[in-house]
Amino acid sequence: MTSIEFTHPLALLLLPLALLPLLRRRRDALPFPWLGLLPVDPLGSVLQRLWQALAMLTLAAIVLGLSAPGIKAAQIELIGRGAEIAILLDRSSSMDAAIRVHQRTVGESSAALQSKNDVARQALTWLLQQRPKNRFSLTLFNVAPIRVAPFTDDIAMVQAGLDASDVGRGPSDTKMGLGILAAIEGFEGRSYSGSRAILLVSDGGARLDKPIRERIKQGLARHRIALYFIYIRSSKNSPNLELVGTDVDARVEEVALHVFFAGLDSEYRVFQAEDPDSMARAVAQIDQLQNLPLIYRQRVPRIDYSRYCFAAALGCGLMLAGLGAVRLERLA
Amino acid sequence: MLQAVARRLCGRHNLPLLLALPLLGVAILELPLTLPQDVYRIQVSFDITQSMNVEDAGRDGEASRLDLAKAAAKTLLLSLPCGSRVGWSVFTGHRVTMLVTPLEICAHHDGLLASLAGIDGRMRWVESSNVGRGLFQSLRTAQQAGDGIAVVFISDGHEAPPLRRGSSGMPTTHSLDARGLVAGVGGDNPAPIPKIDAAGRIIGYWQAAEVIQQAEVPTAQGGEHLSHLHEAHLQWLARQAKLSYARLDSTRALVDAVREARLDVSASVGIDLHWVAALLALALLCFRFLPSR
Repeated sequence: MTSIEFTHPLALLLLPLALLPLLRRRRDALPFPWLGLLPVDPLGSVLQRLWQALAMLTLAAIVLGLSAPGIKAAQIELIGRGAEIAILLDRSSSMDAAIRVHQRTVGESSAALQSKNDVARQALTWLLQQRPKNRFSLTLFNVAPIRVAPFTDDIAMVQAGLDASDVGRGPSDTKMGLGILAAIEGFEGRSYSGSRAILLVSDGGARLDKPIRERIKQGLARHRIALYFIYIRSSKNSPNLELVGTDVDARVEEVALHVFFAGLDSEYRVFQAEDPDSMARAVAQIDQLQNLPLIYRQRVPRIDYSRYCFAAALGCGLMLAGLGAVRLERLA
Repeated sequence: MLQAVARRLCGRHNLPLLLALPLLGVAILELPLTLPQDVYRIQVSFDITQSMNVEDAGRDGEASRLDLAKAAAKTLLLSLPCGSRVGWSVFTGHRVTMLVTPLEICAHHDGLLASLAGIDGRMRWVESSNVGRGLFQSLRTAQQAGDGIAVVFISDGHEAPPLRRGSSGMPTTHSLDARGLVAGVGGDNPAPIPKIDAAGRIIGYWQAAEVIQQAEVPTAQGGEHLSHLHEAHLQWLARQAKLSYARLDSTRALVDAVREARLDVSASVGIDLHWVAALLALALLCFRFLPSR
């Protein structure tokens, strides 16, 4: 894992250039008619050897630097806190409808409006930012599940998917059951590395048929997935799921869905949101809930040594220049 | 004496060495040099209607049209320079759903490939195919997602139900500042359109009586249950929207078409030039140590 690799190994073909200083050079010699005339100069020949060695080192270090040696980028596994969260976002046209930005206060004629999709997107964006080390997947659903991003550590990828969900309009029908099954499928074949949750964001309910209910139940249990349902209430007339008790009016789709979820063996929580504040609170609560140890992968960028090589070359080059001055000075 | 040292040091012989040293300094510092570089911002829109499952794409005609389109997009992703941004959309019926907005292709290489791999017919929310509206929506959503995003629209041009004679099926694109490319995929000979089950297996082929035929043609003689690349239709749509057209007959064809259509935008990208300085230093030193003639 720690072995050195070269980005441009072909540059190493230039290494023989480092032998250049060994070749005889008239320019660096001094004109004497006969070698015997010269006194024996042990220091001089040592300096000559040193000069050659430094010159060779300089060249070799530059060539080595050009080949860009380094340690490969790697992924290391770390243990942090958090969860694998599958975001399952309703992308039907009803999500483009607006809700009030805040509850109307007395005397206020009309409150500012914001689309449900906007509200959901902002809260989910906040969640992504809170948990850069968690793993997310993103699935949209309307008539069909649209798998945008399988589980990834790349938060920006999921964010781009959320941003894209803002563009254009979706069809009006929804088949939530298929969406939930697609989100469950996203956990298939993944080793269990920490707690798992599906975060379902929708403004409506669904009447699920029996085979689908059975598959959802089994899938959630098999993969040990918790289910969080953020229900965006469109108006005061939408059913209040938090008040659903014994007198269940299961004719309403939302209530039927809620009762089905509550009857599952898996962990289930419902959060109601009717404006950006309650949406943010719901997401913040989910953020609190999922804080168990999670194995996550972190990318360790490539470590490049070419700069060290060039620095070594510079050092050798400086000594070379210094040595040149000293040597020539002695001879002067 | 100092003078002599200085003279020797700066002498003609030592000049290359003295020039090489500051260059090496530059190589170490890695000054943030930015150069204008051609990068791309592309939103690829895939037709995921049923006719895209016909296996008649590519030179040998053995890949499904959608598979070839995806393979071509993958090649595109691997061929564009870093700093380019690519996003994915899918089209069926008369709507386009944007999956991811354009992301930088080198930093998000793995994520983009994983997302691309997940694109298939199972995402289809309706079974009809209105290619003209799909192209129009692709252009409009790209414009909504950001400035200067070029659209690459990959389709076989097969309309279902068929358009009435004389109808283009595309709203006017005057209001859109469109840049991009229409890429046609598929074979020239009409081929049966497979029916695919939830698991992605072919379970049969559409018959003439099961699809809506041209109004003027008796159902039994209609050819709408067969599909080929409607190249003339796509070329016409591309002309209307002021886009270029290219035929996608290999995984490489898309990259070439994108380059040819000049869809790039100039952007200042930090380019690491430290190696150039080092190479210059190396050249100077080699010159210095050359054996004299």
